[in-house]
Amino acid sequence: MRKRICALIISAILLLSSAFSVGAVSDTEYDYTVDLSSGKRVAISKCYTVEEIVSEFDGKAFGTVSDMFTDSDDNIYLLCKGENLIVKLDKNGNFVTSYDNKNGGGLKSPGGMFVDKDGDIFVADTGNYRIVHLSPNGAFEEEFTTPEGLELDDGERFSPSKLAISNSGYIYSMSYQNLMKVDVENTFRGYIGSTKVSLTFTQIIVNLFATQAQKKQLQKVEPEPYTNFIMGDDQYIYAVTLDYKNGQIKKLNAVGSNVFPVQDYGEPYYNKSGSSVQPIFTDISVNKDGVINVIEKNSCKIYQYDNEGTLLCVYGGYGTATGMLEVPTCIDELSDGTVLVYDEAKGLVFYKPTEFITAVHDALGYYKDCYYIEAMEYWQKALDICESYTLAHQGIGQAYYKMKEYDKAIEEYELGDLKSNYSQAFDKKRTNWLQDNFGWFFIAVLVFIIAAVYGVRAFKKLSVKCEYAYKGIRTGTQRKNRR
Amino acid sequence: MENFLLGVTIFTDPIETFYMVQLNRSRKFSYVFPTILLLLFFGVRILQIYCTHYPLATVQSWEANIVIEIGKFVVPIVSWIIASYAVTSLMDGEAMVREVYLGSTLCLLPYIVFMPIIIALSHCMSSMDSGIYNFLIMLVWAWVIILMFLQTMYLNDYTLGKTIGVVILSLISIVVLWVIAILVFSLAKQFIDFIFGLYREFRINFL
Repeated sequence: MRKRICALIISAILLLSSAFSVGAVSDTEYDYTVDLSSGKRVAISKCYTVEEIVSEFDGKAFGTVSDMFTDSDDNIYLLCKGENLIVKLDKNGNFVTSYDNKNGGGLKSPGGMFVDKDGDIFVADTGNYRIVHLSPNGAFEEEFTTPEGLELDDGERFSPSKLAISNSGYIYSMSYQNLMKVDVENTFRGYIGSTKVSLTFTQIIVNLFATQAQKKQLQKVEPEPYTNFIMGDDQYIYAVTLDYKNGQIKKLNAVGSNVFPVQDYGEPYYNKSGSSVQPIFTDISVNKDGVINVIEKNSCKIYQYDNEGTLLCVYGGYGTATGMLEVPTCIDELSDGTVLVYDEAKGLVFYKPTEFITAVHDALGYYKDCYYIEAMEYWQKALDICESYTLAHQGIGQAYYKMKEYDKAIEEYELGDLKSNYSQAFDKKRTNWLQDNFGWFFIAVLVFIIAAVYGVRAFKKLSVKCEYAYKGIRTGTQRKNRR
Repeated sequence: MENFLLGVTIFTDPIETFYMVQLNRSRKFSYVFPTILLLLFFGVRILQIYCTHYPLATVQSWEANIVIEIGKFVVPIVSWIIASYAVTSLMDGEAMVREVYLGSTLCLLPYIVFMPIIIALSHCMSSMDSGIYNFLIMLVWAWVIILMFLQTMYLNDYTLGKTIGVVILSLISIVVLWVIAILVFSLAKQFIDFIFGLYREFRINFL
């Protein structure tokens, strides 16, 4: 009998503990965002789930993939650097075909690619120092070697590693971590978006006194390098750089100036020895609403920003679990919002957006065009899933403000922690109240002033009485004269 | 318990109030009122954190830390009382420590009384009016500091010049006090660690 009771108790404990372990929140059950005002991480609902990982095509592994591209029909192109192949997959990751450019001299460790609206493929054939143009069926069409008018240092050759082509026909390419612009005639049209090189005080002194020979020995001062770039649907160039002073994410317009907010993107990463390392972004993707995804190399996380540079969510992260990444190298996005990440250890990972982040994106789509009221429905949907998402509260606050419902706007702005807008709405509310109740306000002020005057007088009298009382108690007599 | 009456007179006649603190010193002294004042002072600070209008709040209630707040508000006052007493007793002052305690806590009364009013007023202000709000708070603090100064001057029968010197010396000695406190703390910790280490060596080697 006793044995039976023991067995019962043990099995009950086991059952309970297993139930708890299911209920406990593990690392992969939520994503996070960073609160703007406090800089602290805030857990939010899962934004992306991984249902599919494609690790091979046609029975072969992808190997090292240097670039990924999705065209307007949602075909996925992977540029395999080791195999010197372009692999074309459909939007579900099924193998369609591959191109090796045999009749055009092959490819040699290519670094980047671009597919234009007609399906023409352009490859930055880094190892052969050229840009190759292939027809939609993979036949060699033309090549662009060193552009005319490009000045290079001794021993340097034109070696494009990434490229993009604008609707107006300019070829943008990255060579030695600088962005350059080349026209259809293969004439060099200048570097774009290069950051200003600033000299430190010692460098200025050295420049003043060093001889030519000494100067040559010194390391050249160069602008902060670009790590990757793409061309958005809006014909802006979205680039990631190591420029920590002027913002690592840049959005360059046609003349090459940055129109993206200058701020610190990403978070410092703490390595095993505990020292902090600046974030390094290796690839970037942009969707039609201007939502940006960037890969952070150290932490293997993906940071998602909206078109104004506000952090929406952070997902991925280093690990072997399904939603996590080990060696992410390339990122791109399909038109249905699926984020594709190529991970060298795992393969092509399909990040499907959850209902939550889809609602956020829908809301942002309206929000960025100032349709605040239309966006409200989607913000509300996002909040129903994740109540702590401050951005949604801000969006709803904006909608109420536009609808002139200042009371509700104030409430939402406080939840969204937006002090300036809160004050704006509060001022409107106060002005309205004053206009409606000016008589009462006037009377209240009058009453207050009169009360204050009489109050002060009464208080003075009380004070004198207190003084006599105190002195009386203290000295044990009831003397009425002051000391 | 007649100390309570001083809480009224401090507003109208602070100098007379400080004389009254020292009236008939042979009488029994009650610590109840000054301690209540100190607790009220901290209570008003908590009220400020929780009840200030959202756009004007410098510390949001969810990120407030009670230890830091005690460190910011109660510890300086207590250190001031100790340091001020220590310095004045060296500089032929007349105040006793209990009188400095009562006098200093009486000086906090403007903060205790007027801050709640300012907090209530803040609910009619937005961040556009933060200038007025901060000015009002500054006024209250100025009042408190002037009272502290008068307290040092009249409790010890100092001249104006000597008071300024004593106040500066007290402020310096607050810093010294804290340096010494931290030093003693770290030395004590080292010493305890050493004793524990010795004990552990003994146990491993001989037992």
